[in-house]
Amino acid sequence: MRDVEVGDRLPALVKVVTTEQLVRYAGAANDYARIHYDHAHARERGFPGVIVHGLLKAAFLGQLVTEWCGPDAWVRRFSVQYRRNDFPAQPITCHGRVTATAADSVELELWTEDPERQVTTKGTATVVFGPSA
Amino acid sequence: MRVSEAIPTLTVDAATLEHVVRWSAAIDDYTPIHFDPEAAAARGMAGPVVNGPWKAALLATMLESWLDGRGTLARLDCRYRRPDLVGAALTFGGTVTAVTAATGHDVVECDVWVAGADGDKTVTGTATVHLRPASTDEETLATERLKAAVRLGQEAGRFTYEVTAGDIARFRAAVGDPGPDTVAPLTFFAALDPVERRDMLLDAEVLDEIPFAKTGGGNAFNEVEYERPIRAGDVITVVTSYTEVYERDGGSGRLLFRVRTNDLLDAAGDLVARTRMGHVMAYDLKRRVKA
Repeated sequence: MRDVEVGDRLPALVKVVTTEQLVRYAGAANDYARIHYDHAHARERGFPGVIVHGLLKAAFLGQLVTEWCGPDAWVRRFSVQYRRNDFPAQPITCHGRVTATAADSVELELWTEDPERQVTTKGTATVVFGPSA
Repeated sequence: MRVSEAIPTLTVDAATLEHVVRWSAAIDDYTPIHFDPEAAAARGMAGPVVNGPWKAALLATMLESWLDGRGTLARLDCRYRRPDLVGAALTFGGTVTAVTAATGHDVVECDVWVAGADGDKTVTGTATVHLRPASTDEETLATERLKAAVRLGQEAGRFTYEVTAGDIARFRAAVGDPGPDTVAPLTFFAALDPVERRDMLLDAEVLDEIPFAKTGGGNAFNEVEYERPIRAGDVITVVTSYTEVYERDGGSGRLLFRVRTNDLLDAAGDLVARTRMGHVMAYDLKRRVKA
């Protein structure tokens, strides 16, 4: 069991998304909603341009957690809520904080921030130390 | 109805002797302190006092007029803290303290109170209200037709997907997550969702017929609980069920939520993970776009 305390912050992870990355993610996740790659469609819907998949932001938060906890731990629970949109070329900063510790697990609070430091995604995770089934 | 929502107050400018006498007659209780000044004085009261159960009855009236036919009052408990004199101005009020879903209705818990002329609470209590689901007339979004289309509460469909190291590598490359290709990253469940993949579009036709202007929409939330990580070589059968279809007001219009769960089973039939996928669509109910 590693030395983790309530209040510990995870090293921040910064992602700058390109439209190409959105298309790659659409293919990898089999999510072809047009709002994520069709500029004209996004404008029609009232956005300045295509928007980042919520689940891609969730994937960034997942990467934040798994890089922090390392290969000797696994994530049992993970949840995210989407609060605001993010856009290509605008840095998305992923943050995490330890909110509770137990004998072999920790609870994390997770969030993404846009360049104006507005929270665009909120989440939680339960990390279990030790081997998974 | 939301937690901390205030119930519209009911006021009685003056509780009259006629109120009290009618009540006494209705329930056949002629205890004289409610209408006889001398009997009241003998008990140390400054004058006749209002019946406690009459105040409780008016709390029930307040709750019924708030519900306006949308539900029923299931329980009302009152404590009579202080007497109110006949002639006093009374205010009846309450607040929602909890809302939970039950089969066929929502259970709404409330705190209720009666305030006397000086504002002090002379009665405090709690109430339980059973609220019927939103009506299914044409103005609403979460219609019975939509619920039937997604087979709400039943299995909606099952699809089997093989997870290859190549699938994982492609997903990791797209995210920019340089982990091993043998273990799927945390959110890989998204790639195994029959609705995102458009392998299953049970509600497309019903949604397409919604006659209001769409003002937004997208995923609202995603949750996953793993029994073990998904690994390369897994053959995963995804069993999808819609668990909730509901609507409420939001900043961008009337919001229609559809929540589905996926059980991800391995080839042996063991549960690997369970996900909850919440999707929201916003509509402007004042802007009709179709007949």
